[in-house]
Amino acid sequence: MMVKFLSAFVLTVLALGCAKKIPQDEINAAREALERAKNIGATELEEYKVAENYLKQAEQHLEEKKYDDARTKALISKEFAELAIKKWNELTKKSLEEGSKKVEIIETEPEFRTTNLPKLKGINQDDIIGTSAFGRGYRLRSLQNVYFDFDSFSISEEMKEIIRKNADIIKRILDENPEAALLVEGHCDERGTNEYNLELGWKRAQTVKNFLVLFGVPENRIQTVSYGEEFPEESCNPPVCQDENKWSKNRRSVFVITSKD
Amino acid sequence: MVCFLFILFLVRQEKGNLYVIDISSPKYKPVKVQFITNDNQSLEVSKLISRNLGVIGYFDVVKEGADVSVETVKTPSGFKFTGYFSGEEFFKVELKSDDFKAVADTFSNYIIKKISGLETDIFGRKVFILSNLDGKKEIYQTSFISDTFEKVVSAKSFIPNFSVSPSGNKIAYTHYDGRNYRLYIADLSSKKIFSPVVRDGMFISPSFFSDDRIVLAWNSGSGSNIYLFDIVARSLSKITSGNADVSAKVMPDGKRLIVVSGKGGLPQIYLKDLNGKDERLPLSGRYNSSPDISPDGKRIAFTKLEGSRFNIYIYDLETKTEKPLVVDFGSSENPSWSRDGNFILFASNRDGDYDIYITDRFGNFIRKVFDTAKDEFQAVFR
Repeated sequence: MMVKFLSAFVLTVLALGCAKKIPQDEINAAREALERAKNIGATELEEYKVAENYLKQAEQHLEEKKYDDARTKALISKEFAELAIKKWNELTKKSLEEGSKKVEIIETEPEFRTTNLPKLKGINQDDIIGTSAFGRGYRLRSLQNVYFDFDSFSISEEMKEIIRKNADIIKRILDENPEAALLVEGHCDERGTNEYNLELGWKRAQTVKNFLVLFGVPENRIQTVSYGEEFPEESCNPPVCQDENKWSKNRRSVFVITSKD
Repeated sequence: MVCFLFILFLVRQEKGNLYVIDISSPKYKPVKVQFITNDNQSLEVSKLISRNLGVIGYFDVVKEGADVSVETVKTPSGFKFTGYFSGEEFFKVELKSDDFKAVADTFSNYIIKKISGLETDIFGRKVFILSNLDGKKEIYQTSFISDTFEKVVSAKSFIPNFSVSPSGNKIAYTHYDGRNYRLYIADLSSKKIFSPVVRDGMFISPSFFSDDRIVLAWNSGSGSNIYLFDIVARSLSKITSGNADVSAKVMPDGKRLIVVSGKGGLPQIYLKDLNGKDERLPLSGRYNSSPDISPDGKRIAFTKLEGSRFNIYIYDLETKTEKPLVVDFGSSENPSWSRDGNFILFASNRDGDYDIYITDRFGNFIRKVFDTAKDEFQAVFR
């Protein structure tokens, strides 16, 4: 009697332990893994397509109440989805490795490096007409601006002559003032986007620098900066202002005597 | 007969729901809405709602002759709104909160849906704005819509451009440090600022595409190219080699990049994928720039220089066609999609200085949203 009871008890426990559990968790896990793979763009990989296929089968089995099959297929689906994610990340990493460099990141407040302007020898004080943007250097009356056409960084023959004359003055100043350097600013008019004008201003400054080097100014004494459209000589915001005369004054390179630091 | 036809024109039915206007039709007219209140608190909330709806061109808030009247009643736990259209009860909703602005924002989003079928959540969203309110270009935070600006990023010189992370917790921006344009990332939660130690060159136009990854242009001395900056991996990886690539944004699928490049002369917009395929978008005009991708990745809002002013266009990536959205409205720049893809913020100097305006993706209306005593150059929803 006791043996029969114990046998019945054990069989009941075993039966309860083996009761069919709906594999909803496994299917949800497979779906979630596929969603992650999709979000990073791995949908074209073979592994992703296999995972998708297995998930469909798992869902079909679930409807048919074939829970064991559904569970198995869901687990396989998740594995393939994870493989797709891993493979995609490796492919993406590989394509970025060329030209990749490590950078240190530091906690810092935005800094601003001020310029300690040198006392200049050999310059007539009347020639100094002021300081440039952010006090980076002296603007001299004798150093003329160079001007550009719209969306251009080409130097005309007339402007080449200005650069040549400026170069003669600059060479003399740099010879007499070993702590000084030349800063070439590049500016644009207000037409155009901010980011494009920053780049264009840089091109203008670089082109002028190249000519200065050609005319004998030591390259290591020339700095460049682009201010884009931030500091127009004469503000003229279109469409309210439509003054080509003002715009042409803003498309310029400015020569500034600064410090060699 | 005329009245009957007028009502037919106004009303459209869709899937059993009744909407008052069809915003996809170029012939729609704004719905006249009147708020009826009997207590001071309801009046206060109604004023906030009226202000909200005043920036959305689907509504005209009126004192009489309304198409839709909304009865606003203060309840012990909040406010109840009952809407009537042609004398019939159109909707009834109760919002349980004593925060007047929150109630106004929630109801404003709700009534847009009831009137037009459009699902939106713009009211109450954070907006980040680049403004020279204090004399320098710096970044402010406000909400849609509010008059209060809080400065969140200060500049010692100026900030040419910025981007906000998808979570709204980080701002990436460039800042002129007296020598170069460096990249900074402000963490709004910890109030700390970080910067990659890269002292050469000029960073331009950062754009977050995940909370820890940014694409941006870097000119290290031979022209600008697009780089991927990974904050976690601490790496800077080159993606393009045009030497004139000034800005980029990553498509929502993460597989393609929109790049603005001057490699062909004036800036144009290119679509680049990870396999190296690089196609210029077939846009008219000589100067196309400042793209912003819709949240569903199907459309790009961008600016086109026409004459001496910028106009805003939308390019459909599926049909490969462009259409004008904001034209001859001052010079309109820096379009930026709302998170739900229904509206676009942009800056325009229509009134002399730059202010922020809003339109919807059909270009149905233009309304001013943010206007200080100075300029607002760029605005981003989060």
